[in-house]
Amino acid sequence: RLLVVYPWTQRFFEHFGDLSSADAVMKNPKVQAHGKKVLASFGEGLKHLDNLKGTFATLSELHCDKLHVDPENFRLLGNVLVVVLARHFGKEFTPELQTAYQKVVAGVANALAHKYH
Amino acid sequence: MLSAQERAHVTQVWDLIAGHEAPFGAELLLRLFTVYPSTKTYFKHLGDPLDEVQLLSHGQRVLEAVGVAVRHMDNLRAALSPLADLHAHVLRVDPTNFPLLIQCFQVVLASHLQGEYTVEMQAVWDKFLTALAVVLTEKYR
Repeated sequence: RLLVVYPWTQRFFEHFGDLSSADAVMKNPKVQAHGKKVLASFGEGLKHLDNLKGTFATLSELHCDKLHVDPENFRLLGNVLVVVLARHFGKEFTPELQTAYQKVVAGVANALAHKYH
Repeated sequence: MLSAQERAHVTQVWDLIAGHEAPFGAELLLRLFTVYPSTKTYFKHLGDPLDEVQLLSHGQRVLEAVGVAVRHMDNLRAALSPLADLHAHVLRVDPTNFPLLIQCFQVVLASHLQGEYTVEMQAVWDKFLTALAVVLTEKYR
């Protein structure tokens, strides 16, 4: 959804093949595989909410030194994740639950940006 | 700015909200104030704790303005000029707050429409609401 709603984020994924339409993006196997990797990493973060900076230190260095990703993209991704959760959980995704998750995604985004230099 | 297909997506989603402006608007504002408490500074008149009647009334007003925007997608500037004046000279809501409202709007749409909320709808509504926010803050200086 990030790649469709904010198409400029595709700049990091030119090697993923066909991203030419919303349908192509959503069905792209490399996108799906990467989505799984990102969510798994996020899940790990949820186990260490008291030390997000430490947990994501290595990934932060990677995103700065090798991937050269503007940290603003982490914020965009976090917001899209919250919308995806809302879509899945419907009414169960209460304002309180949204609050908690917006704080988590903001924390993860900050942790991923922490080692930038 | 919006293609014909994009306009269709805007209308398609709006048709699912139309008639429910008050509850949708109230939920939108409730989420905004709960998730981003600093936004409450612009709404002291809604009371603390929040007055439910006022919330529904104001929520309706906000969503009705979105409805105006939907009906005048071709000419947002003209249609929203009075609202733009209001925001520039009276309300003066810092522009950084509009993306927060838009995020809450997306969450309201997604949680209500769920499986029907396609990625195309999400993309178009993000574009549309962002354009709306630009118009509302254009006269600030």
